[in-house]
Amino acid sequence: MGTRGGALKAPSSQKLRGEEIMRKLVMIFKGFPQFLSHEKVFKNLLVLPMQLLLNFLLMPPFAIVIYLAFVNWQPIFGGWTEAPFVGVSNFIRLFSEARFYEALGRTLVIAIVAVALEFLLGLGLAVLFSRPFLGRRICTSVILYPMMLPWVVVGFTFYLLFLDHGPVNYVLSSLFGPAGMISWFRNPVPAITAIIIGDIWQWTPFMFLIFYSALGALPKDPKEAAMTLGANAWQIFRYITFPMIKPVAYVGLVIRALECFKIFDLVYIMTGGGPGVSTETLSLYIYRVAFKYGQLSYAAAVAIIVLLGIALVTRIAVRPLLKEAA
Amino acid sequence: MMRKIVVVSLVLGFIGFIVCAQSTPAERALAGLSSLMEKGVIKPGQTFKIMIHSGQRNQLAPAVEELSKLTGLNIQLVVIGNEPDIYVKVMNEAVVRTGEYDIFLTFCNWIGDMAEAGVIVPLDEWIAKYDPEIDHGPNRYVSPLDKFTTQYGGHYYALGMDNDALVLFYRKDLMEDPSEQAAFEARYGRPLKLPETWEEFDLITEFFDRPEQGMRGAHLYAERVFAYTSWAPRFIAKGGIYFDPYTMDPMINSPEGVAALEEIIFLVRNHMFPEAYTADWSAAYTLFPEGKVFWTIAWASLGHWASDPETSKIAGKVGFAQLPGEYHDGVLYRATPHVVGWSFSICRYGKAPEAAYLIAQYLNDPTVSAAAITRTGTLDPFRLNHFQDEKLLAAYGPELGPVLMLNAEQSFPDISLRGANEYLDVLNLNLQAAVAGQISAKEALDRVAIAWQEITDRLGRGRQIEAWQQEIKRYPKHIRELWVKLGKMDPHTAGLE
Repeated sequence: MGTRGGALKAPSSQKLRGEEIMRKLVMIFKGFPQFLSHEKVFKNLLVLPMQLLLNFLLMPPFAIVIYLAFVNWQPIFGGWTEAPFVGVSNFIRLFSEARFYEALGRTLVIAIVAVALEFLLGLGLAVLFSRPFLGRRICTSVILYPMMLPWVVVGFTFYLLFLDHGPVNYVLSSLFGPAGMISWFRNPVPAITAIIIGDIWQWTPFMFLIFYSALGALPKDPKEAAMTLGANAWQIFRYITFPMIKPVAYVGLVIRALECFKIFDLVYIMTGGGPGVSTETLSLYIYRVAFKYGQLSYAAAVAIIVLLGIALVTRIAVRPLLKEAA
Repeated sequence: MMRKIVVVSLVLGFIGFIVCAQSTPAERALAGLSSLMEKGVIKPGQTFKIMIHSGQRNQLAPAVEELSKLTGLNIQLVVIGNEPDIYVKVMNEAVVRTGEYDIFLTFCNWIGDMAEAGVIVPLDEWIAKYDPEIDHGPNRYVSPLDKFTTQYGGHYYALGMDNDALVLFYRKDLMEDPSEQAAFEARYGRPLKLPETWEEFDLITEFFDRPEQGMRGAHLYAERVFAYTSWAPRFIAKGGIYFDPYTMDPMINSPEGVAALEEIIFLVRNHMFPEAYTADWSAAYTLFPEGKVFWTIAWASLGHWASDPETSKIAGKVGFAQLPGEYHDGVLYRATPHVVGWSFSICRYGKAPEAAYLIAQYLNDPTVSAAAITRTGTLDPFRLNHFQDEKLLAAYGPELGPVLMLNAEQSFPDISLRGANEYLDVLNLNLQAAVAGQISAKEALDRVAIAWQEITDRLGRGRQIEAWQQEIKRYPKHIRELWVKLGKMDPHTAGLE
């Protein structure tokens, strides 16, 4: 009986479930236009194809880098797919490599000093150029030229400038006699100084451009009100102008700091990382390990750690900006 | 039917005759290419790409054009401006296998890396079949270039195209000046003459070091890429050897190595411009022709440069000499570094590797290569016939040819093991650091020894020992004899039995 009863009930239960599904589907289809019209959903749908494409393009190389970091492979070992798995030994080696730490320290020094000076010089020039004067447009164009030059040109120019018998030493010896001459590329400190000077020369215009645009876009009313109330130029800059351009300045700083952290070309051309490895930066270190020594697995491990470090620093750096935007 | 058989037989016989009767490597290469074309392996108009350095375009372009006309193939030279980029691109090809290039013209000490990466093919079979005349006949390579510019691991992997044995260039006018000779003798109690030993070289450097007149004693490479070229000839001549032949333990931090480096450091700090360690290889090509240094050690191409009044202020005053050496039991042992040197190798992933080999063989032919080397560029004479070629000798000057040949005969190769690039880079950066005063000579070489141990372990000590023992046999005989005499190895390992 029970079986029969169960057999009789079964079609009715299936029918009910089917109707329920149909009803839900109809509701979904009926509600689909409304669902799509939801702003958040619509926005996400618009960027979805590009997001998928980007993921498709970016993820495979990234996956290969991760794979390489956990195997022991050099091109001279043969096919990379047959490379033996070595766990985290590439990472362990990285953290015990003094040359890596030295390169990291040097890169940080260059980035901090160069970007800070570029920031100050760029801001100063932008403030100067925010007031009208004769030939301002021409001077603005001239100031921007270094930024447009290829790295290799800048590197080679500064290499020639700082040679032992180059123009810089000529000027120094004219001013202070032979004792004033500096052997720029012989010792680490003068060599890094020369690199920083080259970087500042090329990238101060970038900071200038950012500040110049920001200053030009500021409303005049707050300044005029402050002037009416008797504020001097410094007070206006300190309490009105700078707070208003702060978000832009922040973006400029982050972009330049990230770029400077990757510095390669200038160092490669001017000193080749020498003497010894005393001016070797992180990018140059990775390049050498990967392409000169062929240790691509180890280089992949270094690249992953650097990427994680940069991501973390960037996250911390942009947090105030995001807070402000929110 | 009978007629067809006769015609086919005649045609085949003719082709066979052509192939067999070729008397030069170029003719055999052309016949081989023609045969491959008939078999359909290659087609007229097919493109073949040769990766070269910018310094070779002027030398190779006319021959490549001629070969393209003769064969109907589209042979292209792809120029790379920076030497290290060539290594990077070749290794990149080993990974991505695009088949973009058919032939590589690279430093011969990269052959080991390229062979191990599988990106180039062994040439033994084709060399036996087409005979490029490497080690026999009147046009053979100057020994030992026939070995170390062509072989790795007991196999042929390349056709050497260059002779980069270094040469000592000096101011002949000053060296032969009677007043200078008298002053030198008065100061040192010995006659002023071309140095036999490094000790004499250092004294003469000191004597001619006249910064007040704008001339320093010497310019030797102590920079990032070629610092080893100044240190190694002293080290080897003192009896030094890079690695223990049985264990691959580094032997560079031996007393011979430290003494050689201390000598270089002294010279650089006291008798040279700082460009020795701050500039690149081209510094010798400006300082010496401008008369700013008394002598320098560089590639033969500096002979062209310094002898040409358009590029030199000391044209007509340049002398050429062998590199000095060291005496051991009354016998002088000279060791000349063969620094880099260009060789053709064939890409495994190219469209038709055998045809690519034949193109390289054509360019490597004694006559074709002599014509190429006569033109200005980075390739220098490497075959015996080159040293008898009137045009070529005229381009180099009558004195340089014989000296270059002597230096080539005493030349020893760069480290050419698997990982050669890394071994040499670590050596160079520490030599440069020592010369710049960052670390002491002993500390620098100790650091190199530690790094070399690590590299050897990573690449596999057993295989490296095997490869090093093969490489030892490619050193000139007198150096191997010196090593045996000093007890560094037995005669069998030295290849003297």
